[in-house]
Amino acid sequence: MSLIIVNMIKYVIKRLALSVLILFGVSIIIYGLVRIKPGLDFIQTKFYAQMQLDSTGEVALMVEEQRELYGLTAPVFEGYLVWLNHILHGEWGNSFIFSVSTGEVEYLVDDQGNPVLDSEGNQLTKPISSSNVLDIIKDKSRISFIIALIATILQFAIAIPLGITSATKQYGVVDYSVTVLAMMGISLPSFFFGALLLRIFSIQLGWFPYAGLTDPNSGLPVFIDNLHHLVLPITVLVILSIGGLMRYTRTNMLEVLNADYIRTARAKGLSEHKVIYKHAFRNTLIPLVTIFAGILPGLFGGALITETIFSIDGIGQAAYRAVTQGDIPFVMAYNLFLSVLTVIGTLLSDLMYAVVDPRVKLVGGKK
Amino acid sequence: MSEFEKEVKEEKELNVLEEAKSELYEEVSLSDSAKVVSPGRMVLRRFFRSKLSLVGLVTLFIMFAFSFIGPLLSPWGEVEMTGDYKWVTSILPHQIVVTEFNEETGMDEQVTYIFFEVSDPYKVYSKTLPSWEHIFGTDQYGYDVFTRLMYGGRVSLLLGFMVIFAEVIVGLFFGSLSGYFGGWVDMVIMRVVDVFNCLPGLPILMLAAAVIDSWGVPARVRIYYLMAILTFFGWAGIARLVRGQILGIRELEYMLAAEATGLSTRRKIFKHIIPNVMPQIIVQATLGLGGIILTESTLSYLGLGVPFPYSAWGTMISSTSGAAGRDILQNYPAIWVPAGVCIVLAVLAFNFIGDGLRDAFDPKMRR
Repeated sequence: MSLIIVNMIKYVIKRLALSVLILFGVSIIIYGLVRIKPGLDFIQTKFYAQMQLDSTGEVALMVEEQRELYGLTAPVFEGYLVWLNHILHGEWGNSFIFSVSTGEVEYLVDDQGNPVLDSEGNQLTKPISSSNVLDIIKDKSRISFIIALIATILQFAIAIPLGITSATKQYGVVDYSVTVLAMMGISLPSFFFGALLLRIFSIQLGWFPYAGLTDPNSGLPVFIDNLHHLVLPITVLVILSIGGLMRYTRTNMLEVLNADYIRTARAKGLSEHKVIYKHAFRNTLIPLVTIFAGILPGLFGGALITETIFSIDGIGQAAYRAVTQGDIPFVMAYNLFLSVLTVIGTLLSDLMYAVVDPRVKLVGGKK
Repeated sequence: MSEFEKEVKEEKELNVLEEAKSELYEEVSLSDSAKVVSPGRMVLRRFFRSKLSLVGLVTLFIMFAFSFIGPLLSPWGEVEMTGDYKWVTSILPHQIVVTEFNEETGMDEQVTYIFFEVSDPYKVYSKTLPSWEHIFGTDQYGYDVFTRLMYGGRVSLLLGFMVIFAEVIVGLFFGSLSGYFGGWVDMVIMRVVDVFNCLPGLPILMLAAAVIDSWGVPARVRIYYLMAILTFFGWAGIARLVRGQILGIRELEYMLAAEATGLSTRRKIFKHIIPNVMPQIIVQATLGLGGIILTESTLSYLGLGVPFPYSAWGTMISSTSGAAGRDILQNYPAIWVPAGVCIVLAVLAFNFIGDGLRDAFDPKMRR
């Protein structure tokens, strides 16, 4: 037992080291992408007009500070190291277009340093807003996470039973229709499906609101109102991702159903229900665990297109706006954030695989 | 010898040949009761047995005819506004020479005038409803939707094929290097592949497209940059597939035989390994084609793909986005629904064909 644990720890350490290496590579590519641009760098481009108008030199100073952060004053390789150093210290840069309130307040003081009081003697405060990209990611990913969580749960709840039915009744009517529908789901572009849903259910039938997250005129409790707004986006997410999972379940189930132990179970005279759900399904779960690798970035990373179509103020829409408005600091951070999630997700899924399937041995040292 | 006699003679000769052939054939089939079918034939037969892959093939064929032959027959151009013009618009300069009286010299002189017949239509028929003249009506700029669908198909299909071709070449190269040589070559290439696999798909493409945007690449050339980006971020999957296949093939007996006969490395790779990896790659490439078309149309939808005024399916759907697109979304489904249907059909066709090919190449997988 202890050997297994030691092996596991060794394995995790090895994988972590590998992950760091991978993230290192990812950061090189992301930094390289912003640096290959000829001419002015992105911060100069962004503030060029302001710098021309500004006579006090304040803007120029700020721009210089920003450029320092991204190592833009140095040659590419040196600049990368400077930037990496800042990243490792948690200074991910400031977004050009977003700012969020941090929840903290600043107590107002006058020139002499005395607190400013209102008529009732309370000290006046001012909310502090931050445009640090990390704060923005944290703030915006909340709603995205809720949406993705509901969508993921629904997706599993629908896809797995369908996949199983499809496998147990292979080449039946159910199987064919489910396969074709799954295929259609995979082939649908989210922006088209979203527009279609909006057109039919929001504009024509008026069942669901057109955009956003809340509607002050709806008269519903806030929670219900939010859910009402989320029906269409979640439908898009579920329908689009259900196909892959369903096909995956089906393939695995078919494989398991051909195994010897299923024949044994049937030979013992177990009921078909028991064979399918007790013997076959549990073994199907093993490969399903690998899917978790893909889920983690999906959960926190937001749905770029869907959020944009339904105007949900999540991280996906933020990323879209950032790209279209040239907010490169945010886009860089967002890409890095997603890569970190992917790396963690892959690591977790491999670990889970070992936990679920005792046949899988984690190798700590050399293979 | 008259013409007729010549023909008769030739026919006789042919008949003799035919008879000899059929005799030979009969002999073979008598002595060998089992019919000899080449592996390629078997694959083809299995492929055509599946109805879905047939549907896919026919759909694709129609799409190709529509996009590549259609524009030749269409009375409208890709960027031809439908409107009332005062003059026929032409971008070619006209040159006329007139004799004019020159006041300074007091003599008649030949003066050359060069002018362009450029006239904006004084009335643009934008957003017209479907009619016989415009099968899907015109869009918000007065372009014929049906014709632009054809041109959009050209972009999507061509770009898809070019990108997948490039990806396969690059993936094959690195994958076979990695799988065949192993050791540190494998180590380095696979870590790079890991890095590319961890990059978030759409956001990194958006970042790259935005960077290219800021270079000010001319509209016509942009599509090549787009291809380069898609290939750059897409080859890793194929490289990994090739490597996995080669690792398996390397251990097989025929490779041992190839080794024993003293074949050169080059010959082993190109004559013995790659042909055996090809089926998997073809399947992967076909399925990947659908994915590339989806990605391209998503980028176009976001305004980062094929630039205006050139047509792309994604761009046609993007006319529904935002407050300005509300009218089109609500009242002019003929502008955007056909484009969406085209995307779905194209992707679906590639997926069906890919699935059919996979089953055809590997009958084990199916049963």
